[in-house]
Amino acid sequence: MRVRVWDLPTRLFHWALAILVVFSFATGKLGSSWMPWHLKSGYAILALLLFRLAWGVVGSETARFSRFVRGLRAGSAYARTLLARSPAPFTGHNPLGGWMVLAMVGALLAQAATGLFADDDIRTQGPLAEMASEATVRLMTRIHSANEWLVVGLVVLHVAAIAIYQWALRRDLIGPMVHGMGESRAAPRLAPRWLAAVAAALSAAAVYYLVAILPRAP
Amino acid sequence: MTPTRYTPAAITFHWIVAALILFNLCFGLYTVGLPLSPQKLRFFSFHKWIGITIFVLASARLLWRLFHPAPALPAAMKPWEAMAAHVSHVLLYILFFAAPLTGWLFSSASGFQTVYLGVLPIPDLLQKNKELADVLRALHRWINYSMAAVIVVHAAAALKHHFIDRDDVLVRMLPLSRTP
Repeated sequence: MRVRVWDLPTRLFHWALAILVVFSFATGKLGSSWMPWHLKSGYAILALLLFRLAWGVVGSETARFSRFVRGLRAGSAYARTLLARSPAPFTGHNPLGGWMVLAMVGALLAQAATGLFADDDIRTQGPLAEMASEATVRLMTRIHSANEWLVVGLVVLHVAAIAIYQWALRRDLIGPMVHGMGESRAAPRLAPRWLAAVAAALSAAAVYYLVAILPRAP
Repeated sequence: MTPTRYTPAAITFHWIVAALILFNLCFGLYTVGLPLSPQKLRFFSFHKWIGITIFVLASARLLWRLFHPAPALPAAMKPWEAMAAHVSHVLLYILFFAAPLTGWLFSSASGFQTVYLGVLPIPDLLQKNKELADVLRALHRWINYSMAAVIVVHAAAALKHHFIDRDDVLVRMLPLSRTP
């Protein structure tokens, strides 16, 4: 039957993150006058990621880590069905998709966090760079510029996998991520929207504290 | 009788060389961007050791291939597709050798002898020569960019074979997969 597979907060999170990651990559490459936008975009990404971590604990069923993070055995069993070109159906993330969520959230969290301490030695500094030692800032900057390519690799892998499912295996994954509806035997339990609003507000407040209040603390 | 699968040795060569090449491409790119330091020089040494290892393994793979030919391409492929597959494989092998060779020559021309694993000195063919080193650096860089591009095409083609053409081209190179 046709049910709501992805709730609205998860879908908004996904597409906002996709847009901001592309925007961050572009502004980071353009540099100079675009750097203030690069920083703002990074703060928004950090807030989105904090929200996703919270939503992975208190959110709707398909958004919860406890539901989609699976072990090696489930992953390899699923990989075999994928290799046989008939991937086992899953409501929400399949086991490999679950690993991709962890990798993507982890890599982006590292990217956003190191960005807070980074310094490009031109005129752009992360908001917390002043508070850290010179060695820390150098290390964070180096991780920030190397990890960027890990993120690019994950995005390419993600988009390629979706393209294979969508057009070679004829499994519609893009549609459900847009309108939320997909085929499933049981309807996943949905968390209330107000809870998403609270999680989003707390995440935004935490990032505001990190980038605007903490650096000015005496 | 033509084989339908790669030999276990060929499969092992393929995936070890693939992992080493992917790692060394990223590692080289990363190390080039580091500020000059003892660590940077140490990383370049590792990079060269891996490059030499790739050179040796690719040579062994090519030798193995002479006596154990690759399985035939699916009959359903169009002539231009088969041609493209052959050209891209020849290109890959040329680049597997060209990349470490230009790296070694570039290193010599820059005045750094390569000492494999820190114990086996590789003779320098070239004397230290700044102009030549600049040319070889550019050559080494573009050979590796080209290799990265052909690898992307190679991987995309393997996925196209598996998921769109639905043939056995990808599976016959996979380790641990049961053969029908």
